[in-house]
Amino acid sequence: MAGQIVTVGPFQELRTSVEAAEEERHLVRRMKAGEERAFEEFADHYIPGIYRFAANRLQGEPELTRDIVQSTVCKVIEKLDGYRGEAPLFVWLYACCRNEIAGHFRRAGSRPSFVDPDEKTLRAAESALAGQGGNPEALLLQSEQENLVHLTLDHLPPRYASALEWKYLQGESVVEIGRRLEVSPKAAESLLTRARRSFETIYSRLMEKNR
Amino acid sequence: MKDETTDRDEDESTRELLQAAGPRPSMPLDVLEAIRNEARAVWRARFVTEPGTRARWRWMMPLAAAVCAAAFLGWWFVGRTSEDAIVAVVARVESSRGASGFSAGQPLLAGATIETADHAWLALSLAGGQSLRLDEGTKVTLISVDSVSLERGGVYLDSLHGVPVTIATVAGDFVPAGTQFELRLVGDAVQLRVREGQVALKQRRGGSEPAVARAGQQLIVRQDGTLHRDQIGRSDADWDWILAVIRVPEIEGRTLQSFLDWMARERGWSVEFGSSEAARLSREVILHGSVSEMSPDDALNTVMLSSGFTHQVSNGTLVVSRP
Repeated sequence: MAGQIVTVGPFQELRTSVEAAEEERHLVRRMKAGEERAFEEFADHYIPGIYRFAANRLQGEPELTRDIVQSTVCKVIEKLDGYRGEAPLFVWLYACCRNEIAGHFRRAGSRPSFVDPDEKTLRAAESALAGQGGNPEALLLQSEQENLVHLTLDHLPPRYASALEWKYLQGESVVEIGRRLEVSPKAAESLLTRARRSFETIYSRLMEKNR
Repeated sequence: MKDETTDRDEDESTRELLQAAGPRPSMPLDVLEAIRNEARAVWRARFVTEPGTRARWRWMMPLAAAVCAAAFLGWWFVGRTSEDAIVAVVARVESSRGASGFSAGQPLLAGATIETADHAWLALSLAGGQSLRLDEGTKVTLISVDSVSLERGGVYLDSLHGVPVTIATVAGDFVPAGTQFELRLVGDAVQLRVREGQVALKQRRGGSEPAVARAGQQLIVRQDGTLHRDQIGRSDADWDWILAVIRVPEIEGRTLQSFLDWMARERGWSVEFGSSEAARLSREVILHGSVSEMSPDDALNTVMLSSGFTHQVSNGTLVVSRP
């Protein structure tokens, strides 16, 4: 059916925990209840995430990337009633985005000039090598690992990803993270623990898929 | 069950991975804001009911029920079909020449013909949640909840909230898709100006395929069915008449961002922020008080001043900064 969002089966295993699923279901419930902050939370996290995903595959076509992402996000919002939380929300967006990209090239009667993730990694390594020299294999692995870490963060519920970035990249304290999430320090600590476990699980599974 | 050692291990491995990878690449801010605005419009249309509309229709429920009951009884006793459904309510009246014959809150039934005199403008809230505005010297018939006939003058339809409303004219039926547009009878021609989204014309004569006009386009349909296309501005002075009958919404408890979105939509502007910090703060600042009795320009100036932001409008873009 045209416009139908298909959740890709194998990715359901990326659902890491009951808590992560409940986080996303809660976000979707708040969005469906018309809560402005829930929409902003969704937009802050998922639009850049799906943009990164689309931009990786449509390199050199910023206008098309923008159109595809806009169409993806709008369609997912239109069909939010159908979200049951079996798979991470990002996977839903990801599946829709893939359909949008495929649909675009089908309509245009052309083949997508996708940049394969491996090819992209290779290019990054080559580019880095050209500039500074070094071990190509190590650079390749490093670039691949960076992509996987970023992809893993994109797969997490928004609050999980933000909490991890605040703690490990910005060095914020649990008290500060609690203040930003509007929860007690104890609840923030608990959320960080769940976020770390979800991160580890998704990262490991993405690593396995990538081998 | 995981113990403290495992927690520490997880903490360290997560730290190492995140720090080695660094922050996620950001996307261009203007692209993010543009997509966010489109997505927000879809989200609002799908899940948010305008507070004013909700209140009005809650107030109207007993009356609507009474009308439905009356219609049923009429059909039962005299064999009439039930057409007496409320399809719109008068939202605002502006008349510089005294009484217009309408008052805010007045219900309008299917089949009602509405006329505005010179120097009188009318805004209707349709039952499906759309806003229909009538310019001076206009005549329309409200056929049903999703169909209006334009017989004289010009109308502006904003169907962000609610299902599309088809507008029938001598030239054909204009079917919008999530849009803002103006339709005007000019002599023997029909002029369509699309501000947002797109509108399809199903012509009464000729043209088996619907003609489609998109945002920023004008389509003139002549009596012989010929079409003439042109480009138009989304915020030029030709749109100003629609501001005569808008009421600034209540802002209490709303974010600055949502107020700016409303203002930009009414004026045909796009919104840009001077910095990512200003964009973030606009989503966090909660407004209090009321500016609903002010003109749109006064309301904007008041809100910006009181919330500590500055703004300027340049080439159809509202640029918002935080000094």
